[in-house]
Amino acid sequence: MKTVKWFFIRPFDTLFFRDARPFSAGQDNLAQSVFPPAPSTTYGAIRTASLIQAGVDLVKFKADEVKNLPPAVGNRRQFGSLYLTGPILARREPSGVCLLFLSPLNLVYEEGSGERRLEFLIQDESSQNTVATGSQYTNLPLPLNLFVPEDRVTYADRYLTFDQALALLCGTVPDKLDNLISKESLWKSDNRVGIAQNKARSAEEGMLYSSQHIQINNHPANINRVGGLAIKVIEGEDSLPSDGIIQLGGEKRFCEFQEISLAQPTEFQIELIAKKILKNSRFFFWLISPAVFFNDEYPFIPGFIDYHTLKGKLDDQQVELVACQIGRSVGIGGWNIVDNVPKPMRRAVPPGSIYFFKLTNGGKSEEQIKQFVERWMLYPLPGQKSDYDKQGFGTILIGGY
Amino acid sequence: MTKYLAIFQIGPVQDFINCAKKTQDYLAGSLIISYLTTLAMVNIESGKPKGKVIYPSHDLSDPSNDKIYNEAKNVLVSYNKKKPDLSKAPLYGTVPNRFVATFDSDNDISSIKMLLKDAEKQVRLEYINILKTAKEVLETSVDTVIRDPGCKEDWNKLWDRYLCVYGKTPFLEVYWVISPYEDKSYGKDYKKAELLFGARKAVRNFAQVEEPGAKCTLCGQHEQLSSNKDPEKFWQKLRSIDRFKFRFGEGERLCAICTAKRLALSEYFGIKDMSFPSTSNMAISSTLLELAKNVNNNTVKNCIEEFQKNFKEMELERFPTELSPLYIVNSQLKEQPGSQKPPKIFGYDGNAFILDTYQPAKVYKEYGSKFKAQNDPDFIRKVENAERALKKLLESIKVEESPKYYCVVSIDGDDMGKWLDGSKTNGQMDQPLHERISKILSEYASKKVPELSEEKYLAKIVYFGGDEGVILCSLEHILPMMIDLHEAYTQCFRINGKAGTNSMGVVIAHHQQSLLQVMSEARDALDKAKQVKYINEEKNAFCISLMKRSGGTIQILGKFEMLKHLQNMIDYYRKKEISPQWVYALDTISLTFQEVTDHILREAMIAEAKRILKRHFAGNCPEKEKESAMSILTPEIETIVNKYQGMQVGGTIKNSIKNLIEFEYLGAYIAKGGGR
Repeated sequence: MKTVKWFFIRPFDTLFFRDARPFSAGQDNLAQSVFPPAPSTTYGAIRTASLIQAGVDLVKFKADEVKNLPPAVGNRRQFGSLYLTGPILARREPSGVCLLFLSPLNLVYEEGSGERRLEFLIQDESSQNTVATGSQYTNLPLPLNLFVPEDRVTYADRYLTFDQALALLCGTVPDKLDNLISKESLWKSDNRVGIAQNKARSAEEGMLYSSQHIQINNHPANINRVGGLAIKVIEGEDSLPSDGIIQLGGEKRFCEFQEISLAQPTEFQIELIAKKILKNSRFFFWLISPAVFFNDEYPFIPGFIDYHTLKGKLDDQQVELVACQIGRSVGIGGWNIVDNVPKPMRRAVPPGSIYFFKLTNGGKSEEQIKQFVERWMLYPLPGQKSDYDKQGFGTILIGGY
Repeated sequence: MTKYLAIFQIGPVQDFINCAKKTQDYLAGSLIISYLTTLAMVNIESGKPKGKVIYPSHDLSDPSNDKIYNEAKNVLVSYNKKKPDLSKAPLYGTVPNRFVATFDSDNDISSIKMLLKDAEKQVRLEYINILKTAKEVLETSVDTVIRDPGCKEDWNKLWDRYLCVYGKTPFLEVYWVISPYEDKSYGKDYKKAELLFGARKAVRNFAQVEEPGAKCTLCGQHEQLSSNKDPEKFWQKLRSIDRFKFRFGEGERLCAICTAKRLALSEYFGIKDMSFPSTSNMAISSTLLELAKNVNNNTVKNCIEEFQKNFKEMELERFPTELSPLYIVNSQLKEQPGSQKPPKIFGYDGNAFILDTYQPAKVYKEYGSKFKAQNDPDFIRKVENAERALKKLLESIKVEESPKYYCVVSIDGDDMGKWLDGSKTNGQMDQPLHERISKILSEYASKKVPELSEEKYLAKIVYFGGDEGVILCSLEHILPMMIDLHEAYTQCFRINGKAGTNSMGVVIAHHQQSLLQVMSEARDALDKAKQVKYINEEKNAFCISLMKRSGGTIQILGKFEMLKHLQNMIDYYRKKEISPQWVYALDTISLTFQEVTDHILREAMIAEAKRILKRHFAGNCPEKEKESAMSILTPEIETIVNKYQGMQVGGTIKNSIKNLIEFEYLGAYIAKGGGR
């Protein structure tokens, strides 16, 4: 098994991850932020940090004049061996760092119910395949099953702690919506008004602007509870020292990073998930970061699935996609610092989306399934456009149903 | 006998409509979606098998429905060759983005499937026509730039990306489902169809479209239009053309989708009168109303003439001066004795009445002028003269400064799904009742809403279809309009003696605040209003977001019955009978109550509120009137505290006191005409 390292990134102040709208002082007056940032943002920040750590002159790097670059970084045109997972929202508590995951789209509660009890909609044998039965029909372009609840439901749209997520992967649904963490309690937008100054350091006319910063909330009553982001370095683990400072996002805001030991799923939990999968030969992938799959006609289904048959192969497992829930696509772009031009923007499947599969090559042992679970837990999915997986796009959690 | 229900929806509403820099963008987005939905409805009702649209109700005896419906029909008959002429239809979207249709039992599901597929195809085809029209308009206008053979190919490629990808328009989402029903179990079956529709929408399939280059300054998602890979040059050229000079602002570089939306009203729908009020028009509308009331007063008349003359002398090139005033301003002008043609200033953009506008550099940059430069002493003098004339004009109607804040109201009916599946009507639900509900909603949207917004207050409907809509309103009239619209809804929507309710999200924003942000805040405010929960009470709530110019937003939640108190307070403040300073005094006092235990805090705060309020009556207010006012206001304040305490989430006494202070602060804020 590969050695992996987890890092916790703590911003010193607010963060700023601007969306793709151009922003020129004097022409535009609003710069909006997206949060959590795209994996490409943290990937870029860590590449830069490793270059600095290796003492590389960034201007020379940009001009392609540096030899013997760290292998993790690659060169100005190509990524190196650095392979990441995340960024994942996290909270440092006295007991350690806790990862937080956006709830899957099928984690819902009954509309208007006082208690707001949660339900995990699943696509099992008893669910109605509306396309196949012919009694109902939808314009879904692929013959996938749909999750039709028994009553009106609302998406939870909150965050789960690592423990809650692991329990969900084993089949235990959190009790109530109030047990999950709301976005408002994790971060808030802070609209900052800015001005441009002239040489005399007085405000310039017509240069008033507003930028939306993100303030990650720390627990007001508990200084030991600190909000931040976590990343997992799967390959290129030497690219970062065990702690230090990096600049992240727009305005190069400073953050502290520190290597952490993270509570991994225990042997027992992995076994539970494996057993659950084995029981019905069914499992699901829960996306925790956006994914850019390579099929342009059906970019909403994983690239390793043939869209004609909905079947595919993952490691040595033959799988069939039976259902999914996909949120509205998100645009993933960015800025190419080397060439100083915008990167092409592509549409990605958003985090929280969930895919339900059937194992079609039966007769697997528990050990094989355990390896399969360990292999893919908190790991980016294959079948994405080039290098997206390396940056941490399409990271998943795997569970049984 | 099995019949079929079909639910059809066009989107994405949030990304498409709300992505707006100008109020006109918002209007165009909603009108396009309304029109495309109508087109699909016509396709269903005139196709084979013939369906019957039961929601929204489209009563053809209503001329506004008739106009859009018939135009859509003509377009379909012409195989999408003809463009619709909506110049005589209401200038806002009147059809929601989804409809429900029924099909008789003699139809099999496969023929219904074909019909819906065809409706989807027609909608996409028509959207392609809207995009193509914009492309053609640009090609004929900016031909020297585009027709360069070197860039023609890139230009076409860029547009093709939005017209058709894998056989579909990639940025128009169309979802539909077909589900069986029987008359005897209509409510239950309708719910099943709704749940299936929800499940379908939970798989938001899309096609990949790669967007290279710099992105649109409006949506930030798609590539900016350009020729020869030089967007800057292309947009400069476009802005230099007369017909586009008011359409695309300085610094705007839009994508094909946002450009088509911006051009759709005039170029596709044939709407020539594009005078939809801007946010600054909405903000200053109370000043214009005051001017209209006094237009025949000699002093005011002279001031108007002087201002008009001075304004003209700035020789601005791109300042909009031919806008239509709001309905009630217009009515006021017509009511004036011996009314002739109103002075031209009533057609000026709202910025003309805001003192901050008169900064030479700003004016020159934004509107251009025939003067040589922004620092030309003559130009500077002309700007100063115009500013002086405006001050004089405002003085003549006793207005210190025009208001700079306006409101956006987002309205939505509560629990509509529950009404339609019978949960709200003791299980009683059938197709005729569904149709009746649709008709009630349609009447509310097409008659009551215009009557109680545009025709009564300084307001303008941007979109209203079914039970939901968006209205712009002046700060001065926001509360009475909210009260009226809410009351009318509860009166109109009565099924078996039970009244329906609606909720509202309101944003109070500076006229220069990004509309994108304001609209997103309005949506958020509506969501917050929907989350206000009381035991055994309907949603029936509002949330008012106060977006401060300095950054930061205050959200004030409440139930509609609380608004009357706020309106009373505003009346007292305006008549200067009570000083709004009492709210600040109450706020200060509340800080000293931090340590007071909860069980006495409530009584203590109410007692303090009474004492402070009484001390803030004007010195010349007779004791008898003071007592009478206190006898009304005191129980109202107690009721408000009770209301806040009754909230299921956050109903603690400490929160209730904080909420009361913010609520009263809102009254003071509205009374003074917003921030400066």
